[in-house]
Formats: sequence, C-alpha cells, structure tokens
Amino acid sequence: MTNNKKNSLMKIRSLFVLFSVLLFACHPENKETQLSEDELNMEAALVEKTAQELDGDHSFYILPSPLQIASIFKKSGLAYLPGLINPSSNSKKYTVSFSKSIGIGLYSADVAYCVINNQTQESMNSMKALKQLADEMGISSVFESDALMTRFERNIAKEDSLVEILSDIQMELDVFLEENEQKHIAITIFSGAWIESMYLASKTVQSKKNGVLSKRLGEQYIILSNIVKALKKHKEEIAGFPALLKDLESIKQIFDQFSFITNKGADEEMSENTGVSDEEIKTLTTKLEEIRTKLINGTI
Amino acid sequence: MKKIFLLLIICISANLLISTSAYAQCEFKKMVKANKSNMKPYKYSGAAYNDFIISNESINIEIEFTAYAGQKFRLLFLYSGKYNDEVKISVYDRKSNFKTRKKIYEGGLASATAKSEFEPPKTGNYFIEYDVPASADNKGKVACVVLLVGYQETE
Repeated sequence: MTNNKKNSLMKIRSLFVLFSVLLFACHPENKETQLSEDELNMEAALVEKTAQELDGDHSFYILPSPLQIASIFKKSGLAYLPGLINPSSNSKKYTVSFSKSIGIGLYSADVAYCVINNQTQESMNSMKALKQLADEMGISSVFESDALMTRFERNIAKEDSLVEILSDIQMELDVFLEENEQKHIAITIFSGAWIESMYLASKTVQSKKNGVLSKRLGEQYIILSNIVKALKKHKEEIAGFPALLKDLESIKQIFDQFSFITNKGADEEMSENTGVSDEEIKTLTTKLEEIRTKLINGTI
Repeated sequence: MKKIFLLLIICISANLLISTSAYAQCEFKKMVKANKSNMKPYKYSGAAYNDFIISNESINIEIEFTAYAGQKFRLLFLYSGKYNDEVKISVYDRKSNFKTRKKIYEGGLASATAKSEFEPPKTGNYFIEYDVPASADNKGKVACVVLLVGYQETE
C-alpha cells in the first residue's frame, strides 16, 4: 500500500469516527433523555403561560360567535329595523387599537344582523367597514385566506353562502389571534359585538313585543357574566379594559335586578324562565344605548 | 477539512431542527384547516387552544362554553404531539364544584380527532375537562389539543 493510499484510508476512517460521534449526538432519542437549557427555559415559559391562563380558577372560556347570537335572536323573531346599525362612515372615528377592535366587533354583529335579514347593501357596507378596520389593525390576512372577501362579494345575494363565509371568517380570525397571542383583541371584539347584538335585539323587542325574544335576551346574562370575568382577568394589560369593564358591570347590575335572577335557586346561575318584563327591557335598552353611543363614537 | 466543516454544519442544523420542532408542534392553524370539513354541516362557534408539556405530573384542564337550548352542538377535539398516552375527555353540564353535575360525554383522545355531539336541554354553561396523565417515561413531551365548537339550529 502506498503512502498516498494509507493517508486516504486514514482520512476516511477519521471521518467515519467523527460522523458516528456527531450522528449519536444528533439522535433524537438522546434529546429526550435530557432537555437542554433552551428547552428547559421554553418548558418553564410554557408552564408559566399555562398557569397564567388558568389563573386560579383553572378554566378557559370559549366565546361564542356574533353570528351564533344573531342566529338565536333571528330564530326567536329578531326583525330588521332600518337605521339601527352602526353607520359604516363611523369607522373613521376609531383611531386607536382598542376602538378599532371594538369597531370590528360592532360591524361583525351588524354584518350578521344584515345577512340573516337579507339586507345585501347594508351587509356589504358593514363588511367593508369591518375589513378596513382589520387592515388598519394588521389582521387583513384573515380575509386573504380562501379569498373570503371576494367570496363574500360574489355571494352577496345568497344568505346561506354568506352565513358559511361569516363562519369561516370567524374561525380564521380566532386562529390568527391565538397564534399571534392576541387573545385580548378577541375579547375586545366580542365585547363590541355583544353590545351591538343586544342593542339590536332589545330595540326589536321594544318596537314589537316578543316574549320569546325577550327570554333569549335574558339568557345573555350568562354570556355577559363570562365577558366580565374575562375582562377582569386581563384588565391590567389593556388600556381600554377598565372603562369597558365598568360599563359591562353596569349592565350586569341591571340584569341582577331582573326577576329571573332574584328568584333563582341557590345552586343556579339563573332561573330557567328568563322572561324579561317590558319595564326591565326599557331599563336594559336605555343602558345599552348609553354605552353603545360611546362605542360607536369611539369615545370609550 | 471541507468535509468536516460540511458535516458539522449538517449536524448543527439537524440539532437545531430537532430542538425547535419539539416545541413547534402546536401548529394550530394547520390542525384547524385540516379538520375544517369535519365540522360541516355545523357552523363554527368558537375554539379553545391548549398546549402543554407533560412530564411527571398529570394535568387537568377545564374549558367552559355556553350552549343554547334550540341549537345542537358538535365538539371536535384535535390532537397533535409526541405524547402517546390517551387524554381523557369529559363533558359536564355543571362546574366541578357541583355534586349534582351530570356527565354528558366521556371519551379518549389518543389519535388525531375525537367527536361529540349533543343537544342541551337548557341554555347554560357546559364544562369540558381534559385529564392528561403523567408521561410514563417521565420525559417532557409536548401535546397540543384544539377544541372546535360547532352549532346548528334544531328544527
């Protein structure tokens, strides 16, 4: 064997040994037996995150969609009353992130209300205002997925298709906010949507007496209690939360005086019959109007 | 020398890939997209996203959602992760501090999905519990669970 050949063989041997050592060091099984410092830090962060989310009461709450609430109200006789929804021109008034999020919520409820009542032009106007605010908030990618906005425009006269599209938009929005750790925005948006939905339904009950719809309005006490809990959990983190919380608590105080709450059993959240009297509706609507006026003008 | 350098680069890259992939398994968007069709004909109501590292202690998580009388619900549980044991799922009509609470659904989530459907007798908050047993080999493992809630109007 020549010297050259010997050298080549030595090099190959050395490389083989080095490769074996490195391959062993890279093996995934080896990773599992001992977590690296980075992994331990990540684990600690994840555990801490989980603990924060659990926040003592060890529970998470899933917010319903504005479309779902509109659907419940519609089934119970929610009628379309012209001139009630938030004008799309108001979107210019929302200049900060918090009021923009509230605005997205208001328009979400309005779009749902218009779609289920076959108000095509109003649906489109509210959706455009919503999209504009989403663009300004940097969440327009929600609409880009599956060309949702284009699909909305193309199907503007088909209620069933629009309902499907709204459902998809909500899903995209939720997953976007989750992945970007912006749950507080989801709570803000939903608060705006809930107040607008309640306003639209209470106005309908006031103009056309409807026992079934007023019962459905009463049921919303559960949702209100859950929003209040969520806002309390995050009130130190977001500038607008304390004021919003105060307003929602003032609505809850009104609900707390309703007979279906004062007559509830000790182990119940509310009595099964959530019927609301005319007088109670009047008080509730006045309060909702007062708060909604602040929200639509971006002054909260 | 060039070969050794190349080998080192490959190994470092592989190492980085392995360490980051362990913590990047909760690709919620992908999980949701892949299972969106399984929600049909139900419409999307909301979702809960949970990621956790299971090691030598079991984990119990409670998720709350509001179900309305007059609507039917589909709960779709999606799972992804290195954890091999079954995550136990229970759905109750009341919070855990009520002795009178009834179990509406019980099941296990060991593979990609599990599904439950129910029609609530009355409007109220319902509670889902995940019981995640400790990892058998005591090694920290990532698990990702997504719950999609869908609704449909009853006739």
